[in-house]
Amino acid sequence: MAKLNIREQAIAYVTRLYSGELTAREESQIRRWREEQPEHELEWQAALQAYDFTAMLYHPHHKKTTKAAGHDWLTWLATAASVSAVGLLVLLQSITPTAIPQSGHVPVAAVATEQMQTALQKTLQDNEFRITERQQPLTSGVWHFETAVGEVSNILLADGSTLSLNTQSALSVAFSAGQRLVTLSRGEVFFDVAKDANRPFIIDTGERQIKVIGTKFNVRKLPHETLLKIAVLEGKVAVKNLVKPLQATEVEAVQALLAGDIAAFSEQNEVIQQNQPQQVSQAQTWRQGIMRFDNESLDNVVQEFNRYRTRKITIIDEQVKNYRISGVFHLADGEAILSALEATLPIRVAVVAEQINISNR
Amino acid sequence: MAAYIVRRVKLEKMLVLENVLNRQREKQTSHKLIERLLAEHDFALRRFIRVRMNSSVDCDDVMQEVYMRLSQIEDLPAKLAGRLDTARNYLIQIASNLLIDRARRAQVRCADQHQGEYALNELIAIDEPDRQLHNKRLLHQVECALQQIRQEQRQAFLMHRIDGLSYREISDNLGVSVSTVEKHISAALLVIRNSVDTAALGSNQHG
Repeated sequence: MAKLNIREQAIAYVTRLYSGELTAREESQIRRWREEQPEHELEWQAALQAYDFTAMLYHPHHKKTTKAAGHDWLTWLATAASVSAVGLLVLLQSITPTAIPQSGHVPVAAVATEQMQTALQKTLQDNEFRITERQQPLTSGVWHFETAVGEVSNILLADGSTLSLNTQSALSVAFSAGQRLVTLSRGEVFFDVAKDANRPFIIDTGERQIKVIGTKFNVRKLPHETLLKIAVLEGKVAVKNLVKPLQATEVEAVQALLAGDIAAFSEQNEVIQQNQPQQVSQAQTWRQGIMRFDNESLDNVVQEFNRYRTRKITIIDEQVKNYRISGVFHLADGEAILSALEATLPIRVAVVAEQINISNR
Repeated sequence: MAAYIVRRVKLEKMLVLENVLNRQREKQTSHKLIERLLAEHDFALRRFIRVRMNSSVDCDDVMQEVYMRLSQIEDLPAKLAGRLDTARNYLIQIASNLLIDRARRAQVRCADQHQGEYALNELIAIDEPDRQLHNKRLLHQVECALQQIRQEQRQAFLMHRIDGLSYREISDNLGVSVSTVEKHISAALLVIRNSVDTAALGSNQHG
Protein backbone atom coordinates (compact mmCIF):
# COMPACT_ATOMS: atom_id res chain seq x y z
CA MET A 1 0.00 0.00 0.00
CA ALA A 2 1.25 3.44 -0.86
CA LYS A 3 2.19 5.59 2.09
CA LEU A 4 -0.56 8.00 2.97
CA ASN A 5 0.00 11.54 4.12
CA ILE A 6 -1.63 12.72 7.32
CA ARG A 7 -4.77 14.05 5.65
CA GLU A 8 -5.26 10.91 3.56
CA GLN A 9 -4.74 8.73 6.62
CA ALA A 10 -7.35 10.65 8.61
CA ILE A 11 -9.82 10.29 5.76
CA ALA A 12 -9.09 6.58 5.35
CA TYR A 13 -9.86 6.13 9.06
CA VAL A 14 -13.13 8.06 8.80
CA THR A 15 -14.14 5.93 5.82
CA ARG A 16 -13.44 2.83 7.86
CA LEU A 17 -15.34 4.22 10.85
CA TYR A 18 -18.47 4.65 8.77
CA SER A 19 -18.23 1.19 7.26
CA GLY A 20 -19.56 -0.06 10.60
CA GLU A 21 -17.03 -2.86 10.34
CA LEU A 22 -14.25 -1.32 12.38
CA THR A 23 -12.19 -3.99 14.16
CA ALA A 24 -10.83 -3.78 17.69
CA ARG A 25 -7.37 -3.47 16.21
CA GLU A 26 -8.38 -0.53 14.06
CA GLU A 27 -10.02 1.13 17.05
CA SER A 28 -6.78 1.14 19.02
CA GLN A 29 -4.81 2.04 15.89
CA ILE A 30 -6.93 5.14 15.41
CA ARG A 31 -6.62 6.09 19.06
CA ARG A 32 -2.82 5.76 19.00
CA TRP A 33 -2.51 7.62 15.72
CA ARG A 34 -4.58 10.54 17.01
CA GLU A 35 -2.45 10.81 20.14
CA GLU A 36 0.82 10.65 18.22
CA GLN A 37 0.82 14.26 17.01
CA PRO A 38 -1.55 17.19 17.53
CA GLU A 39 -1.74 17.52 13.76
CA HIS A 40 -3.16 14.01 13.50
CA GLU A 41 -5.96 14.94 15.86
CA LEU A 42 -6.70 18.14 13.92
CA GLU A 43 -6.89 16.29 10.61
CA TRP A 44 -9.09 13.61 12.17
CA GLN A 45 -11.56 16.22 13.42
CA ALA A 46 -11.48 18.04 10.08
CA ALA A 47 -12.13 14.80 8.19
CA LEU A 48 -15.11 14.06 10.43
CA GLN A 49 -16.45 17.57 9.85
CA ALA A 50 -16.10 17.15 6.11
CA TYR A 51 -18.03 13.88 6.32
CA ASP A 52 -20.73 15.45 8.52
CA PHE A 53 -21.11 18.45 6.28
CA THR A 54 -21.98 16.25 3.30
CA ALA A 55 -25.21 15.32 5.09
CA MET A 56 -26.38 18.58 3.51
CA LEU A 57 -25.89 17.20 0.03
CA TYR A 58 -29.27 16.81 -1.41
CA HIS A 59 -30.61 15.84 -4.74
CA PRO A 60 -34.06 17.17 -5.56
CA HIS A 61 -34.72 14.76 -8.44
CA HIS A 62 -33.75 11.88 -6.27
CA LYS A 63 -36.25 12.80 -3.57
CA LYS A 64 -38.97 13.34 -6.12
CA THR A 65 -38.53 10.05 -7.91
CA THR A 66 -38.35 7.99 -4.76
CA LYS A 67 -41.57 9.53 -3.54
CA ALA A 68 -43.43 9.08 -6.78
CA ALA A 69 -42.08 5.83 -8.08
CA GLY A 70 -41.30 4.05 -4.86
CA HIS A 71 -38.27 1.98 -5.61
CA ASP A 72 -37.19 3.25 -8.94
CA TRP A 73 -33.51 2.90 -8.37
CA LEU A 74 -32.65 3.13 -12.02
CA THR A 75 -34.14 6.58 -12.38
CA TRP A 76 -32.10 7.79 -9.48
CA LEU A 77 -28.89 6.33 -10.77
CA ALA A 78 -29.46 8.02 -14.06
CA THR A 79 -29.91 11.37 -12.35
CA ALA A 80 -27.09 10.81 -9.89
CA ALA A 81 -24.77 9.98 -12.75
CA SER A 82 -25.50 13.28 -14.38
CA VAL A 83 -25.58 15.22 -11.15
CA SER A 84 -24.12 18.65 -11.53
CA ALA A 85 -23.66 21.46 -9.10
CA VAL A 86 -27.10 21.79 -7.60
CA GLY A 87 -27.19 24.03 -4.59
CA LEU A 88 -30.17 23.19 -2.47
CA LEU A 89 -30.05 23.40 1.23
CA VAL A 90 -31.63 21.14 3.76
CA LEU A 91 -30.94 21.23 7.45
CA LEU A 92 -28.95 18.49 9.02
CA GLN A 93 -31.52 16.06 10.34
CA SER A 94 -31.68 12.55 11.56
CA ILE A 95 -31.79 10.26 8.60
CA THR A 96 -35.23 8.83 8.17
CA PRO A 97 -35.47 5.75 6.02
CA THR A 98 -36.06 6.88 2.49
CA ALA A 99 -37.35 4.49 -0.06
CA ILE A 100 -35.08 1.51 0.02
CA PRO A 101 -33.85 0.19 -3.28
CA GLN A 102 -34.95 -3.38 -3.46
CA SER A 103 -32.91 -4.37 -6.42
CA GLY A 104 -30.00 -3.08 -8.41
CA HIS A 105 -30.39 -2.20 -12.02
CA VAL A 106 -26.87 -1.21 -12.88
CA PRO A 107 -25.98 -2.98 -16.08
CA VAL A 108 -23.07 -5.38 -16.02
CA ALA A 109 -19.73 -4.22 -17.30
CA ALA A 110 -20.20 -5.40 -20.83
CA VAL A 111 -22.69 -3.24 -22.64
CA ALA A 112 -24.60 -4.66 -25.55
CA THR A 113 -24.58 -2.94 -28.90
CA GLU A 114 -27.71 -1.30 -30.25
CA GLN A 115 -28.36 -4.14 -32.67
CA MET A 116 -28.38 -6.79 -30.03
CA GLN A 117 -30.66 -4.65 -27.94
CA THR A 118 -33.29 -4.59 -30.66
CA ALA A 119 -32.90 -8.29 -31.40
CA LEU A 120 -33.58 -9.01 -27.78
CA GLN A 121 -36.13 -6.28 -27.29
CA LYS A 122 -39.10 -8.50 -27.89
CA THR A 123 -38.05 -10.83 -25.14
CA LEU A 124 -37.62 -8.02 -22.65
CA GLN A 125 -41.06 -8.53 -21.19
CA ASP A 126 -39.67 -11.89 -20.19
CA ASN A 127 -37.91 -10.17 -17.32
CA GLU A 128 -39.82 -11.69 -14.49
CA PHE A 129 -37.55 -10.97 -11.61
CA ARG A 130 -39.31 -9.20 -8.77
CA ILE A 131 -39.09 -8.85 -5.00
CA THR A 132 -42.30 -9.07 -3.00
CA GLU A 133 -43.13 -8.60 0.68
CA ARG A 134 -45.43 -10.77 2.77
CA GLN A 135 -46.35 -11.16 6.37
CA GLN A 136 -47.45 -14.13 8.41
CA PRO A 137 -50.84 -13.39 9.97
CA LEU A 138 -50.71 -13.31 13.73
CA THR A 139 -53.45 -15.88 14.18
CA SER A 140 -52.25 -19.38 14.89
CA GLY A 141 -52.39 -22.19 12.39
CA VAL A 142 -50.27 -23.53 9.59
CA TRP A 143 -49.28 -20.99 6.99
CA HIS A 144 -48.07 -21.91 3.57
CA PHE A 145 -45.82 -19.70 1.46
CA GLU A 146 -44.80 -20.24 -2.12
CA THR A 147 -42.94 -18.21 -4.74
CA ALA A 148 -43.42 -18.20 -8.49
CA VAL A 149 -40.64 -18.35 -11.09
CA GLY A 150 -38.48 -15.25 -10.79
CA GLU A 151 -40.01 -14.13 -7.52
CA VAL A 152 -38.04 -13.42 -4.35
CA SER A 153 -40.29 -12.86 -1.36
CA ASN A 154 -39.42 -11.42 2.04
CA ILE A 155 -41.71 -12.75 4.71
CA LEU A 156 -42.03 -11.29 8.18
CA LEU A 157 -43.03 -13.99 10.63
CA ALA A 158 -45.13 -13.48 13.74
CA ASP A 159 -42.10 -13.87 16.05
CA GLY A 160 -40.12 -11.13 14.27
CA SER A 161 -38.00 -13.56 12.24
CA THR A 162 -37.70 -12.86 8.55
CA LEU A 163 -37.43 -15.38 5.74
CA SER A 164 -36.46 -14.63 2.18
CA LEU A 165 -37.82 -17.16 -0.26
CA ASN A 166 -35.97 -17.53 -3.51
CA THR A 167 -37.62 -18.36 -6.83
CA GLN A 168 -39.84 -21.48 -6.99
CA SER A 169 -39.66 -22.24 -3.30
CA ALA A 170 -42.30 -23.54 -0.95
CA LEU A 171 -42.53 -23.90 2.78
CA SER A 172 -45.04 -23.97 5.59
CA VAL A 173 -44.83 -22.34 8.99
CA ALA A 174 -46.44 -23.64 12.17
CA PHE A 175 -45.72 -21.89 15.44
CA SER A 176 -46.76 -23.34 18.78
CA ALA A 177 -45.94 -22.58 22.39
CA GLY A 178 -43.04 -25.03 22.42
CA GLN A 179 -41.45 -24.63 19.01
CA ARG A 180 -41.37 -22.78 15.72
CA LEU A 181 -41.58 -25.29 12.90
CA VAL A 182 -40.86 -24.60 9.25
CA THR A 183 -41.23 -27.37 6.69
CA LEU A 184 -39.23 -26.68 3.56
CA SER A 185 -40.66 -28.57 0.59
CA ARG A 186 -38.43 -27.12 -2.10
CA GLY A 187 -36.18 -24.27 -3.09
CA GLU A 188 -33.91 -21.87 -1.29
CA VAL A 189 -34.55 -19.81 1.81
CA PHE A 190 -32.55 -17.31 3.81
CA PHE A 191 -33.49 -17.47 7.48
CA ASP A 192 -32.99 -14.57 9.84
CA VAL A 193 -34.29 -16.11 13.03
CA ALA A 194 -35.30 -14.00 16.01
CA LYS A 195 -33.81 -15.27 19.23
CA ASP A 196 -36.19 -17.15 21.51
CA ALA A 197 -34.44 -19.55 23.86
CA ASN A 198 -37.73 -21.11 24.95
CA ARG A 199 -38.96 -21.82 21.47
CA PRO A 200 -36.37 -23.43 19.20
CA PHE A 201 -36.72 -22.76 15.50
CA ILE A 202 -36.82 -26.04 13.58
CA ILE A 203 -36.59 -26.52 9.84
CA ASP A 204 -37.62 -29.86 8.43
CA THR A 205 -36.25 -30.55 4.94
CA GLY A 206 -37.44 -34.13 4.78
CA GLU A 207 -34.01 -35.71 5.09
CA ARG A 208 -32.59 -33.41 7.70
CA GLN A 209 -33.77 -31.42 10.62
CA ILE A 210 -32.13 -28.07 11.26
CA LYS A 211 -32.45 -26.61 14.71
CA VAL A 212 -31.48 -23.10 15.78
CA ILE A 213 -32.25 -20.55 18.45
CA GLY A 214 -31.43 -17.26 16.79
CA THR A 215 -29.20 -16.96 13.75
CA LYS A 216 -28.89 -16.12 10.06
CA PHE A 217 -28.30 -18.74 7.40
CA ASN A 218 -29.16 -19.88 3.91
CA VAL A 219 -30.69 -23.26 3.05
CA ARG A 220 -30.85 -24.56 -0.49
CA LYS A 221 -32.62 -27.70 -1.65
CA LEU A 222 -33.09 -27.78 -5.40
CA PRO A 223 -34.68 -30.54 -7.44
CA HIS A 224 -31.80 -30.77 -9.93
CA GLU A 225 -29.18 -30.88 -7.21
CA THR A 226 -28.93 -33.92 -5.02
CA LEU A 227 -27.38 -31.96 -2.21
CA LEU A 228 -28.89 -29.94 0.58
CA LYS A 229 -26.68 -26.88 1.09
CA ILE A 230 -26.49 -24.74 4.19
CA ALA A 231 -24.43 -21.56 4.58
CA VAL A 232 -24.29 -19.97 8.03
CA LEU A 233 -23.90 -16.20 8.25
CA GLU A 234 -24.29 -15.77 11.99
CA GLY A 235 -24.80 -17.90 15.06
CA LYS A 236 -24.91 -21.66 15.35
CA VAL A 237 -26.95 -24.26 13.53
CA ALA A 238 -27.49 -27.92 14.45
CA VAL A 239 -28.28 -30.40 11.67
CA LYS A 240 -29.71 -33.84 12.35
CA ASN A 241 -29.98 -36.65 9.84
CA LEU A 242 -33.54 -37.95 9.77
CA VAL A 243 -33.06 -40.64 7.11
CA LYS A 244 -29.89 -42.49 7.97
CA PRO A 245 -30.52 -45.02 10.73
CA LEU A 246 -28.32 -44.34 13.71
CA GLN A 247 -25.47 -46.84 13.96
CA ALA A 248 -24.52 -48.16 17.34
CA THR A 249 -20.94 -47.00 16.86
CA GLU A 250 -21.91 -43.48 15.96
CA VAL A 251 -21.80 -40.73 18.52
CA GLU A 252 -22.26 -37.78 16.21
CA ALA A 253 -25.89 -37.82 15.25
CA VAL A 254 -26.03 -34.06 15.15
CA GLN A 255 -23.72 -31.89 13.12
CA ALA A 256 -23.02 -28.42 14.43
CA LEU A 257 -22.33 -25.60 12.00
CA LEU A 258 -20.88 -22.23 12.95
CA ALA A 259 -20.85 -18.82 11.32
CA GLY A 260 -18.80 -18.91 8.13
CA ASP A 261 -19.44 -22.61 7.54
CA ILE A 262 -20.80 -23.99 4.32
CA ALA A 263 -22.12 -27.52 4.37
CA ALA A 264 -23.41 -29.84 1.69
CA PHE A 265 -25.44 -32.88 2.70
CA SER A 266 -26.28 -35.86 0.54
CA GLU A 267 -28.42 -38.70 1.82
CA GLN A 268 -25.48 -40.43 3.42
CA ASN A 269 -22.61 -37.99 3.51
CA GLU A 270 -21.79 -34.50 4.52
CA VAL A 271 -19.04 -32.15 3.48
CA ILE A 272 -18.32 -29.12 5.59
CA GLN A 273 -16.09 -26.23 4.62
CA GLN A 274 -15.23 -24.08 7.58
CA ASN A 275 -14.43 -20.40 7.76
CA GLN A 276 -15.67 -19.28 4.34
CA PRO A 277 -17.19 -15.87 5.18
CA GLN A 278 -16.84 -14.63 1.61
CA GLN A 279 -18.69 -17.61 0.16
CA VAL A 280 -21.32 -17.46 2.85
CA SER A 281 -22.14 -13.85 2.15
CA GLN A 282 -22.24 -14.61 -1.57
CA ALA A 283 -24.66 -17.46 -0.96
CA GLN A 284 -27.36 -14.92 -0.11
CA THR A 285 -26.91 -12.10 -2.62
CA TRP A 286 -29.89 -13.56 -4.53
CA ARG A 287 -32.02 -11.77 -1.94
CA GLN A 288 -31.22 -8.53 -3.75
CA GLY A 289 -31.43 -10.20 -7.13
CA ILE A 290 -27.68 -10.24 -7.49
CA MET A 291 -25.55 -13.11 -8.72
CA ARG A 292 -21.82 -13.19 -8.39
CA PHE A 293 -19.78 -15.69 -10.30
CA ASP A 294 -16.11 -16.28 -9.90
CA ASN A 295 -14.58 -18.25 -12.75
CA GLU A 296 -17.75 -20.30 -13.08
CA SER A 297 -18.61 -22.49 -16.08
CA LEU A 298 -21.24 -21.06 -18.39
CA ASP A 299 -23.21 -24.25 -17.87
CA ASN A 300 -23.60 -23.58 -14.15
CA VAL A 301 -24.28 -19.91 -14.72
CA VAL A 302 -27.08 -20.68 -17.18
CA GLN A 303 -28.56 -23.24 -14.81
CA GLU A 304 -28.67 -20.58 -12.11
CA PHE A 305 -30.29 -18.08 -14.46
CA ASN A 306 -32.88 -20.64 -15.57
CA ARG A 307 -34.15 -20.97 -12.04
CA TYR A 308 -35.59 -17.47 -12.42
CA ARG A 309 -36.90 -17.82 -15.95
CA THR A 310 -39.96 -19.31 -17.59
CA ARG A 311 -38.29 -19.08 -20.99
CA LYS A 312 -35.29 -21.30 -20.41
CA ILE A 313 -31.86 -20.91 -21.92
CA THR A 314 -30.28 -23.94 -23.56
CA ILE A 315 -26.61 -24.35 -24.44
CA ILE A 316 -26.34 -26.25 -27.68
CA ASP A 317 -22.59 -26.72 -28.09
CA GLU A 318 -20.80 -28.80 -25.49
CA GLN A 319 -17.71 -26.65 -25.82
CA VAL A 320 -19.65 -23.53 -24.87
CA LYS A 321 -20.72 -25.11 -21.60
CA ASN A 322 -17.14 -25.01 -20.40
CA TYR A 323 -16.48 -21.34 -21.05
CA ARG A 324 -15.59 -19.64 -17.79
CA ILE A 325 -16.96 -16.33 -16.64
CA SER A 326 -16.69 -14.05 -13.63
CA GLY A 327 -18.90 -11.12 -12.85
CA VAL A 328 -21.82 -9.62 -11.06
CA PHE A 329 -25.23 -9.98 -12.66
CA HIS A 330 -28.45 -8.27 -11.73
CA LEU A 331 -31.48 -10.41 -12.33
CA ALA A 332 -33.64 -7.34 -12.73
CA ASP A 333 -31.69 -6.56 -15.89
CA GLY A 334 -33.61 -9.35 -17.58
CA GLU A 335 -32.39 -10.07 -21.07
CA ALA A 336 -29.54 -7.58 -20.79
CA ILE A 337 -27.68 -10.38 -19.05
CA LEU A 338 -27.78 -12.32 -22.32
CA SER A 339 -26.51 -9.39 -24.36
CA ALA A 340 -23.69 -8.97 -21.87
CA LEU A 341 -22.73 -12.61 -22.23
CA GLU A 342 -22.86 -12.33 -25.99
CA ALA A 343 -20.63 -9.29 -25.91
CA THR A 344 -17.97 -10.92 -23.74
CA LEU A 345 -17.88 -14.53 -24.94
CA PRO A 346 -17.53 -15.92 -28.48
CA ILE A 347 -21.12 -17.09 -28.44
CA ARG A 348 -24.34 -16.42 -30.27
CA VAL A 349 -27.69 -16.01 -28.56
CA ALA A 350 -30.68 -16.97 -30.68
CA VAL A 351 -34.33 -16.64 -29.78
CA VAL A 352 -36.29 -19.57 -31.21
CA ALA A 353 -39.97 -19.59 -30.34
CA GLU A 354 -40.15 -20.22 -26.58
CA GLN A 355 -36.50 -21.20 -26.40
CA ILE A 356 -33.31 -19.22 -26.11
CA ASN A 357 -30.34 -21.06 -27.54
CA ILE A 358 -26.67 -20.35 -26.99
CA SER A 359 -24.19 -21.70 -29.51
CA ASN A 360 -20.64 -21.11 -30.72
CA ARG A 361 -20.19 -18.03 -32.83
CA MET B 1 -84.78 -3.88 15.14
CA ALA B 2 -83.44 -3.29 18.62
CA ALA B 3 -81.56 -6.56 18.42
CA TYR B 4 -80.08 -5.45 15.13
CA ILE B 5 -78.87 -2.17 16.64
CA VAL B 6 -77.33 -3.97 19.58
CA ARG B 7 -75.53 -6.32 17.23
CA ARG B 8 -74.38 -3.44 15.13
CA VAL B 9 -72.97 -1.63 18.18
CA LYS B 10 -71.24 -4.81 19.28
CA LEU B 11 -69.74 -5.25 15.86
CA GLU B 12 -68.43 -1.70 15.83
CA LYS B 13 -66.95 -2.14 19.27
CA MET B 14 -65.26 -5.30 18.11
CA LEU B 15 -63.84 -3.52 15.10
CA VAL B 16 -62.46 -0.74 17.27
CA LEU B 17 -60.96 -3.31 19.60
CA GLU B 18 -59.41 -5.16 16.73
CA ASN B 19 -57.85 -1.97 15.43
CA VAL B 20 -56.36 -1.23 18.83
CA LEU B 21 -55.06 -4.78 19.10
CA ASN B 22 -53.56 -4.61 15.64
CA ARG B 23 -51.77 -1.41 16.49
CA GLN B 24 -50.45 -2.94 19.69
CA ARG B 25 -49.20 -5.96 17.78
CA GLU B 26 -47.48 -3.73 15.27
CA LYS B 27 -45.79 -1.89 18.10
CA GLN B 28 -44.71 -5.16 19.64
CA THR B 29 -43.13 -6.44 16.43
CA SER B 30 -41.43 -3.09 16.04
CA HIS B 31 -40.06 -3.18 19.61
CA LYS B 32 -38.91 -6.73 19.18
CA LEU B 33 -37.17 -5.74 16.00
CA ILE B 34 -35.47 -2.77 17.64
CA GLU B 35 -34.27 -4.87 20.55
CA ARG B 36 -32.99 -7.48 18.18
CA LEU B 37 -31.21 -4.92 16.02
CA LEU B 38 -29.58 -3.27 18.99
CA ALA B 39 -28.53 -6.58 20.52
CA GLU B 40 -27.10 -7.74 17.23
CA HIS B 41 -25.12 -4.59 16.50
CA ASP B 42 -24.38 -3.61 20.10
CA PHE B 43 -20.66 -4.20 19.76
CA ALA B 44 -20.23 -2.33 16.50
CA LEU B 45 -22.39 0.59 17.64
CA ARG B 46 -20.51 1.02 20.90
CA ARG B 47 -17.21 0.91 19.06
CA PHE B 48 -18.46 3.55 16.68
CA ILE B 49 -19.55 5.78 19.57
CA ARG B 50 -16.22 5.35 21.38
CA VAL B 51 -14.14 6.18 18.34
CA ARG B 52 -16.29 9.10 17.31
CA MET B 53 -16.54 10.64 20.79
CA ASN B 54 -13.14 10.23 22.57
CA SER B 55 -14.67 8.03 25.27
CA SER B 56 -15.86 11.15 27.14
CA VAL B 57 -19.44 10.21 26.45
CA ASP B 58 -21.54 7.60 28.18
CA CYS B 59 -22.14 4.82 25.66
CA ASP B 60 -25.25 3.52 27.43
CA ASP B 61 -26.80 6.98 27.28
CA VAL B 62 -26.32 7.20 23.54
CA MET B 63 -27.56 3.64 23.02
CA GLN B 64 -30.71 4.58 24.94
CA GLU B 65 -31.17 7.60 22.69
CA VAL B 66 -30.74 5.42 19.62
CA TYR B 67 -33.46 3.16 20.99
CA MET B 68 -35.77 6.12 21.52
CA ARG B 69 -35.12 7.45 18.04
CA LEU B 70 -35.80 4.04 16.49
CA SER B 71 -39.07 3.59 18.37
CA GLN B 72 -40.30 6.93 17.04
CA ILE B 73 -40.01 5.68 13.47
CA GLU B 74 -43.27 4.42 12.07
CA ASP B 75 -43.46 0.97 10.48
CA LEU B 76 -39.82 0.27 11.03
CA PRO B 77 -40.15 -3.45 10.19
CA ALA B 78 -41.61 -2.64 6.79
CA LYS B 79 -38.93 -0.08 6.14
CA LEU B 80 -36.12 -2.42 7.01
CA ALA B 81 -37.59 -5.51 5.36
CA GLY B 82 -35.21 -7.13 2.93
CA ARG B 83 -32.44 -5.00 4.25
CA LEU B 84 -31.84 -6.36 7.70
CA ASP B 85 -28.33 -7.46 6.90
CA THR B 86 -27.32 -3.87 6.21
CA ALA B 87 -29.27 -2.35 9.08
CA ARG B 88 -26.01 -1.64 10.88
CA ASN B 89 -25.23 1.22 8.54
CA TYR B 90 -28.60 2.70 9.35
CA LEU B 91 -28.05 2.44 13.10
CA ILE B 92 -24.64 4.05 12.78
CA GLN B 93 -26.07 7.00 10.89
CA ILE B 94 -28.67 7.47 13.62
CA ALA B 95 -25.99 7.31 16.33
CA SER B 96 -23.81 9.68 14.31
CA ASN B 97 -26.57 12.29 14.09
CA LEU B 98 -27.30 12.00 17.79
CA LEU B 99 -23.63 12.53 18.60
CA ILE B 100 -23.44 15.60 16.37
CA ASP B 101 -26.52 17.05 18.10
CA ARG B 102 -24.94 16.41 21.48
CA ALA B 103 -21.71 18.08 20.49
CA ARG B 104 -23.59 21.09 19.23
CA ARG B 105 -25.60 21.40 22.43
CA ALA B 106 -22.42 21.09 24.47
CA GLN B 107 -20.81 23.87 22.46
CA VAL B 108 -23.72 26.21 23.12
CA ARG B 109 -23.57 25.38 26.83
CA CYS B 110 -19.83 26.00 26.79
CA ALA B 111 -20.25 29.38 25.18
CA ASP B 112 -22.89 30.15 27.76
CA GLN B 113 -20.62 29.39 30.72
CA HIS B 114 -17.51 31.05 29.38
CA GLN B 115 -18.83 34.19 27.89
CA GLY B 116 -21.97 34.77 29.82
CA GLU B 117 -25.48 35.16 28.62
CA TYR B 118 -24.73 38.13 26.45
CA ALA B 119 -22.50 36.08 24.16
CA LEU B 120 -25.06 33.32 23.96
CA ASN B 121 -27.75 35.72 22.89
CA GLU B 122 -25.47 37.09 20.28
CA LEU B 123 -24.78 33.58 19.05
CA ILE B 124 -28.46 32.87 18.71
CA ALA B 125 -29.04 36.22 17.06
CA ILE B 126 -26.70 35.48 14.18
CA ASP B 127 -28.73 36.35 11.19
CA GLU B 128 -30.37 33.25 9.81
CA PRO B 129 -30.02 34.25 6.13
CA ASP B 130 -26.33 34.90 6.71
CA ARG B 131 -25.71 31.40 7.90
CA GLN B 132 -27.76 29.95 5.10
CA LEU B 133 -25.72 31.88 2.62
CA HIS B 134 -22.54 30.66 4.24
CA ASN B 135 -23.70 27.05 4.05
CA LYS B 136 -24.89 27.48 0.52
CA ARG B 137 -21.49 28.73 -0.54
CA LEU B 138 -19.81 25.80 1.18
CA LEU B 139 -22.18 23.36 -0.39
CA HIS B 140 -21.43 24.80 -3.78
CA GLN B 141 -17.72 24.36 -3.12
CA VAL B 142 -18.30 20.74 -2.13
CA GLU B 143 -20.34 20.06 -5.23
CA CYS B 144 -17.67 21.59 -7.45
CA ALA B 145 -15.09 19.46 -5.70
CA LEU B 146 -17.13 16.34 -6.41
CA GLN B 147 -16.94 17.15 -10.10
CA GLN B 148 -13.16 16.68 -10.00
CA ILE B 149 -13.29 12.97 -9.27
CA ARG B 150 -14.23 10.03 -11.44
CA GLN B 151 -17.89 9.37 -11.96
CA GLU B 152 -17.95 6.00 -10.16
CA GLN B 153 -16.20 7.54 -7.17
CA ARG B 154 -18.78 10.30 -7.01
CA GLN B 155 -21.58 7.82 -7.50
CA ALA B 156 -20.40 5.58 -4.66
CA PHE B 157 -20.11 8.57 -2.35
CA LEU B 158 -23.57 9.94 -3.19
CA MET B 159 -25.13 6.52 -2.78
CA HIS B 160 -23.64 6.40 0.69
CA ARG B 161 -24.37 9.94 1.81
CA ILE B 162 -27.64 10.74 0.05
CA ASP B 163 -29.24 7.35 -0.11
CA GLY B 164 -27.78 6.01 3.11
CA LEU B 165 -26.59 2.78 1.52
CA SER B 166 -23.96 0.63 3.20
CA TYR B 167 -20.67 -0.07 1.45
CA ARG B 168 -21.86 -3.63 0.87
CA GLU B 169 -25.02 -2.46 -0.90
CA ILE B 170 -23.01 -0.02 -2.99
CA SER B 171 -20.62 -2.81 -3.92
CA ASP B 172 -23.53 -4.94 -5.09
CA ASN B 173 -25.04 -2.09 -7.04
CA LEU B 174 -21.85 -1.01 -8.77
CA GLY B 175 -20.47 -4.50 -9.19
CA VAL B 176 -17.16 -3.68 -7.51
CA SER B 177 -15.56 -4.98 -4.32
CA VAL B 178 -16.22 -3.42 -0.93
CA SER B 179 -12.62 -2.27 -0.66
CA THR B 180 -12.97 -0.44 -3.98
CA VAL B 181 -16.09 1.24 -2.60
CA GLU B 182 -14.05 2.37 0.41
CA LYS B 183 -11.39 3.78 -1.91
CA HIS B 184 -14.07 5.67 -3.86
CA ILE B 185 -15.51 7.15 -0.69
CA SER B 186 -12.09 8.17 0.60
CA ALA B 187 -11.30 9.80 -2.75
CA ALA B 188 -14.50 11.82 -2.55
CA LEU B 189 -13.90 12.82 1.06
CA LEU B 190 -10.38 13.89 0.19
CA VAL B 191 -11.43 16.35 -2.53
CA ILE B 192 -14.14 17.68 -0.25
CA ARG B 193 -11.69 18.08 2.59
CA ASN B 194 -9.24 19.84 0.27
CA SER B 195 -11.86 22.18 -1.11
CA VAL B 196 -12.99 23.69 2.16
CA ASP B 197 -10.86 24.95 4.96
CA THR B 198 -11.61 23.76 8.43
CA ALA B 199 -12.45 27.17 9.80
CA ALA B 200 -15.34 27.46 7.39
CA LEU B 201 -16.71 24.06 8.37
CA GLY B 202 -16.09 24.84 12.02
CA SER B 203 -18.21 27.95 11.97
CA ASN B 204 -20.97 25.89 10.43
CA GLN B 205 -20.76 23.50 13.36
CA HIS B 206 -21.38 26.37 15.75
CA GLY B 207 -24.50 27.31 13.89
